Amino acid sequence: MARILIPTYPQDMHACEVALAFEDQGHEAVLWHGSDFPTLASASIEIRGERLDWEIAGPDLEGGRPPFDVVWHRRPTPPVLPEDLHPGDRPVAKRECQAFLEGLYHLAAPDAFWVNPLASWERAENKPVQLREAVRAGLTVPPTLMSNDPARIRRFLEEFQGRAVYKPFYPAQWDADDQMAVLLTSEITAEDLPEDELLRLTPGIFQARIDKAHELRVTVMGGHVVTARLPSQEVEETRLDWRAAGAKLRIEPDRLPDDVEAACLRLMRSLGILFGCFDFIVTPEGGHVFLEVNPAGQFLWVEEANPGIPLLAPFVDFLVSGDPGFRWRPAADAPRHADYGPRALDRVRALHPRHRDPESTYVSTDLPQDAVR
Amino acid sequence: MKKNDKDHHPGRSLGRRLARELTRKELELVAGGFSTWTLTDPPDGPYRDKP
Repeated sequence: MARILIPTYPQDMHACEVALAFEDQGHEAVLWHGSDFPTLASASIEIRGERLDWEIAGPDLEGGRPPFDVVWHRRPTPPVLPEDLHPGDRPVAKRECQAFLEGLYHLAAPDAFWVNPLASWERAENKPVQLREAVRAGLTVPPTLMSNDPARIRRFLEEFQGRAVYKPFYPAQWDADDQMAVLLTSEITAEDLPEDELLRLTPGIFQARIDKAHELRVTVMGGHVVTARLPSQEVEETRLDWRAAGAKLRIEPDRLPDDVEAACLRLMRSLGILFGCFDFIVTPEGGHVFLEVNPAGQFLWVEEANPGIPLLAPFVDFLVSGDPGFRWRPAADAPRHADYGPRALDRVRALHPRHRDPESTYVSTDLPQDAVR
Repeated sequence: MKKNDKDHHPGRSLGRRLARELTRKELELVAGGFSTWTLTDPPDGPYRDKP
């Protein structure tokens, strides 16, 4: 029997679904909801001479003690402090919580199979690093400018006149009472830019717009590569960014050319990750253009859209294997999203009321226009 | 879903100017159909936060 620790948040379908499949195979899964700390959950690290002991405890948290064979570093969530904590004490409490939890992560299971390794996270998620390393690994990347320099941005947009897109480094949403504003990949021209003093306050990613035949979502676990074709040009809303209407797409299995697959694996090695979800454009000429790799990307939606593309079973087997070079061999009784999805939803619904929601770091509160003029 | 072109949003960042404005109902419909992600819990995020 293997024991797996899954740092995550209370509404994480992926974590619940994988945990259920893991448990049905006779293993033990422990979900650690970081947002419960410190109000609902507690944690301790005790050092006595050579002996290290640690423990996490809280609602629905049994077995929060070592050892663990696997850590799926799924969605580690920052602590949430209560509203009634004195404002003067919040920065101190937040720093103390962060320092303590960082230490806990480092000491919790250093010999376990980490997906992804703790040390690789920050670098692997960094977009400029990804793009640079992708080129070094042999992948094609769109001409890209990342800048807050108004003059360089304007020159770039002039060069790719009418054929440029803008993306943020990090998901961004603005929440108002009756609506939300969601920032996806957007077409951009010089006319869209604000005045220079404002433009320089928020660096962004500016890329040449690449013609698309279709797009690929490639999920890599160890050495097992699952490629799904997204016919994004068949649906008006998804032509620029398929996230705008992903559920309308007729997703089909596909295959990466060998040289592109080898380059993906080189990129993962250089970033130090064992799991990643890649996004590619396939051009009308058949070229593959790398957009990004998400080290904590969602993946079960591909099987949800097309049950003929297994992802739950290989992922569970990958975790159990502890093998960085994992290759999946299908089994007749392999777990399927169609069976586990509804059970996971039930578990999420049951768990959610007993836990604290995390504070999103990418949703801002939008104020009425009058308030920002 | 169209780029926000209703207003110039003086004083707002480039990202906010380009963001698509959706009612909550529209937001549900956009990625509707998947139980495993939504636009507010997108396929590429939320990214890892400092614990």
